[in-house]
Amino acid sequence: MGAARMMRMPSYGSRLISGLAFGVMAVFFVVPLIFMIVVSFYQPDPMGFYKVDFVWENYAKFFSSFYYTVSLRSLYSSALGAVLVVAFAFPLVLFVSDLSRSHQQFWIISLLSLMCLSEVIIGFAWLILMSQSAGIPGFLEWIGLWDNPRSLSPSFGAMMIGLVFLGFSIVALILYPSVSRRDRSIEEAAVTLGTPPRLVFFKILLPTFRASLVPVTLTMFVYMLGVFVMPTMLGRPKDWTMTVIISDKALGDANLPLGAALAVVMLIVTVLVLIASAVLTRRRTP
Amino acid sequence: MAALTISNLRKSFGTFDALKDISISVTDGEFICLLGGSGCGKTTILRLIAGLETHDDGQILLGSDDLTAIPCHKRNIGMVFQSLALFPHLNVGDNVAYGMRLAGFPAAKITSEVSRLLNLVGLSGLMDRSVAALSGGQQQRVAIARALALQPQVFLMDEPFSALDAALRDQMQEEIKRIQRDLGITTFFVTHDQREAMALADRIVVMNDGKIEQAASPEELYTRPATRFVAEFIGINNIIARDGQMPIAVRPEALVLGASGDGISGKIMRQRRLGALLEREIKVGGQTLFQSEIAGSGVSFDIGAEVMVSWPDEKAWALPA
Ligand SMILES: Nc1ncnc2c1ncn2[C@@H]1O[C@H](COP(=O)(O)OP(=O)(O)OP(=O)(O)O)[C@@H](O)[C@H]1O
Ligand SMILES: [Mg+2]
Repeated sequence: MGAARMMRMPSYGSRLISGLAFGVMAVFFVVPLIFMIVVSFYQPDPMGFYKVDFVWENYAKFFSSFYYTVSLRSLYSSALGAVLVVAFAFPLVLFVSDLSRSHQQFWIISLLSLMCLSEVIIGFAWLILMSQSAGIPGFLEWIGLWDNPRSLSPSFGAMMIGLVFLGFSIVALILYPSVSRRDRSIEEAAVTLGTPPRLVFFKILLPTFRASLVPVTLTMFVYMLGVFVMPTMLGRPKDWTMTVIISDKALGDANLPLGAALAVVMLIVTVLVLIASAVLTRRRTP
Repeated sequence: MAALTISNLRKSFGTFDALKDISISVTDGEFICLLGGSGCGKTTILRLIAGLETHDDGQILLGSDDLTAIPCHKRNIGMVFQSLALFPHLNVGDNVAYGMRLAGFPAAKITSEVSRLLNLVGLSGLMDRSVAALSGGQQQRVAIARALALQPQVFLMDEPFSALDAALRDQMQEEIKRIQRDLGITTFFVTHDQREAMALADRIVVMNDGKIEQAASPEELYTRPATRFVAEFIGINNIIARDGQMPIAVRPEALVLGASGDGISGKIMRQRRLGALLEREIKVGGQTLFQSEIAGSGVSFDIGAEVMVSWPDEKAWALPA
């Protein structure tokens, strides 16, 4: 009997934990989500936040060309940023993984400290670096490479650099363990079978790491959709992402229903993009 | 045509000399086993032949061509890695076809070659299987087929069977021997298992500490080990020290015991019967000698008996070190 009771204990425990986890999910994720969806159907009220109602007007606004364009641009800049981050971080991680132990440690610590910096600090650093007087343009003028320097930010390129910088250490640190532990004889086998060393990256490393690179890119894509500081600091208003517009509407204009509707649309689009890429990548694996 | 001549090959990593002056001549179609303990430089020799490592000094000639002047990807040397190193993103057929695709063989030729090779290693019909879904022995065969696909002049295998269980290893040994004989391909096979080397090799190269101790046929190595290291490695456990002279080696089955007569005196410490074989341990001076005979073929003794140990002169030989 005692044994039987002992056997049951874990099942109570795991039920308790899954119940707790579900509760936490509900409180922190589902409830705000439902609240957001409900609010997105309310009437905006210029005096207060909203009036309880059921209207499609907020969603209709999304399909006006402005929001439409902004959301497309957000998807574009996040996707481009995600691809660029991975395209820079993966080769760097490969390079680092072939260094000696102590050099690898140096890089890991550098990447970790980079990750500790907040978005705001990274944004400011780049703002200064790209400014006309103190930054790269000034330096280029000083060494005589640029006659008439101007500030490089705000611009789409500056925003991209900020985004890439922000995601870089995260991606590098996610990829590092599997890259450094990879079986290098696979690359050597490819060379003995006639692969020129410069093609090993494309013929072997990219395909063997595709299973890690695709999810990391998708994660970065979602992460960058939510980045707020970089676009406002380094981008022009027309580079602003949906995140910026949403908070601008919800907080700046106190139009919570419109902000909520835009957020719901972005959520749906994001989920659709993720499902589509999951389906596409699954179909290609043998 | 595919004879391989290695002369005065040296390789060091930093201050560590991994290979010190290696020279061997291998004839076309010969099956060479590199045998030696961990870290003695076996893998390093293979990697130098394949071109995965650059040598410090010496020469590797294939026929009359200097291999060391050719980069790895142009050497056409088939190599089976210890980890197998199959391409995880490709299925069995595509693994085998990899080199041929890269070299731009026509598709029809690739298809027929892949099925010929899979047939050769006993994997016909598994072309579309993912390599992760294969057993250890099957993965081994894919690695062998892939390494042979470009009809290399030299075939290198680095402890390919060390991860297999004993029964499968025996089977794979027979198959690799058959494949090698059928293709007549010059082969280097690395192992630290002397039984495996004995079973496979035309010639065994025993290595120790970056040097070749002896290169000889299994038969010769067994009956006439050139150095003490070889004798011990091959499992000849009787090395008898003599005052002021070189020690001599005698095989356990060559020792003869008598109650009296010529020889050196000793005492039987243990004896046990293994099937038809009787094995004894005899204490002679400070040393333990191992003796074996067919049970019933000699005089029988009790444990603790004093005996005279002798051996025919032609069954003993002096060891230089
Ligand atoms: N890239 C390298 N850098 C430094 N030392 C190395 C390198 N490769 C091999 N060595 C050293 O050279 C020696 C010979 O190595 P090798 O791999 O040839 O040994 P091995 O005979 O194949 O041993 P094992 O049976 O353990 O595989 C070892 O002491 C090893 O530590
Ligand atoms: Mg080795």
